[in-house]
Amino acid sequence: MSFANGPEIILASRDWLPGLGYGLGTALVTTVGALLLCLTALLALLRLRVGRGRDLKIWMLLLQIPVAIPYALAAVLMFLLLYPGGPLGFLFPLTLNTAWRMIIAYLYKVSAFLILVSYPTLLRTKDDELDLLALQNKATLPFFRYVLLPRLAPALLTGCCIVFAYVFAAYEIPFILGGRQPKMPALVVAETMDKLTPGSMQAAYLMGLILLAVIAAICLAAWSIWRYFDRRRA
Amino acid sequence: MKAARIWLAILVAGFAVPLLLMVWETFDVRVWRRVLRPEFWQSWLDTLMLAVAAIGLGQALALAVVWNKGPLRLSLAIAALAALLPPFMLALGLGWLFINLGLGNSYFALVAAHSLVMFPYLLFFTLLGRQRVPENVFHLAKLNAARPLARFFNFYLPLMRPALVAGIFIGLTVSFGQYALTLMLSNTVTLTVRLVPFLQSADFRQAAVYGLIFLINVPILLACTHKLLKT
Repeated sequence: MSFANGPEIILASRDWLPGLGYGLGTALVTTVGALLLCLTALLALLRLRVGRGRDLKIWMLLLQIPVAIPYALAAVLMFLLLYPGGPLGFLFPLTLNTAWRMIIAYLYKVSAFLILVSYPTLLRTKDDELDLLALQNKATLPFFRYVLLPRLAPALLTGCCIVFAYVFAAYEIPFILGGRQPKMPALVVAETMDKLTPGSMQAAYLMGLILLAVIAAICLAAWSIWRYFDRRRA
Repeated sequence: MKAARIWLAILVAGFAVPLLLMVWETFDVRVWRRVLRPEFWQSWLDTLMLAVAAIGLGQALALAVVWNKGPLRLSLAIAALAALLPPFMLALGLGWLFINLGLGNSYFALVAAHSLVMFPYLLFFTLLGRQRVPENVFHLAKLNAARPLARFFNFYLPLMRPALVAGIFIGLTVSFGQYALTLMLSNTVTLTVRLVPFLQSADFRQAAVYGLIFLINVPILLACTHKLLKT
């Protein structure tokens, strides 16, 4: 496969660079938002586990609801929730900025995914550690910060990288909820492909490779940062 | 504990309220009549057949990888790397590959693509399932049953079932959600392909009915899988 005049088409595209920046911003905000939601849910689940709450499994089951929902269906739910007349219709002016609409839809899906990925590590917390924690009042937060979080880090890092990669190069939600300008990168790739002009196919493939390179670079950077802090901590 | 429960309740409400709203939107017989036309049933069947075929292929591949006694870390790394590949990128690459192989617009290409998208999840849960099988069970199985298949079905599968069902559950959801992948690789009109135009034309009620059907599909297929693996 040769990329022929693909680079010229990409450089001439008005949507590509703004789309790349828009995609990066949306993906980063979504990943950080999902991580924060996941951490607060894990902290609450830890408190239940320390108190030997019998309802832990029920909460976990309920928190898994969005995992069973396809992304297109998450878009349906956001329409029903955020449009005028919906329970959160008062947020409609905010969601005229389409990035927020997409971010809310993604948060709905991916925060549950992050909880699912990191929950097994929480379950592996030993009983004697929990007993010690139950004896020391108000020690849950330091335990979470200094003991549990380093254990959770590999699972959370993998989960966050998957979430970032998915959101950055996703097609379905931007196609349904995204606006006309700026466009998410996958939409620009699909539009370039549909042009059917000489070299447009090659340009689309090249854009795809650039997206993959960006994903690889961000994930590698996140992994390197984590390794640096992990070594310093050790 | 009370504060923790309140926070979890807020989070669960945030997840559940949109779903209840969707169910509420479907309380209209006229909308159901408009949706349940012959072409809908064809799409429903296509969606289920595609998901089942892709799960079959993906799960067989995952079992082959796990049973090959390859290094565990390598298998996990493959699963993580494959999960990092967004479905749209996969559709681009596979579209190019299948066209060059002369398999463009074929059902096989679509099944292969769907199984590749769900493969990381199937592999991950199959690995988890294998870890649930104690080493002494492997020795016991070798002493009791000669054929590898008999060993697998009589000894390993009952122990691996919960993990396999969880993987299949995620796989089904992933397959049901594919829009770009399905559109780019074939002419098959799945339920997702049928759903998206309703959203674009702001026909939320029909979209809500499709959404509810999606939700009903998952537990039905999951119950069937559970039953099948039990027998």
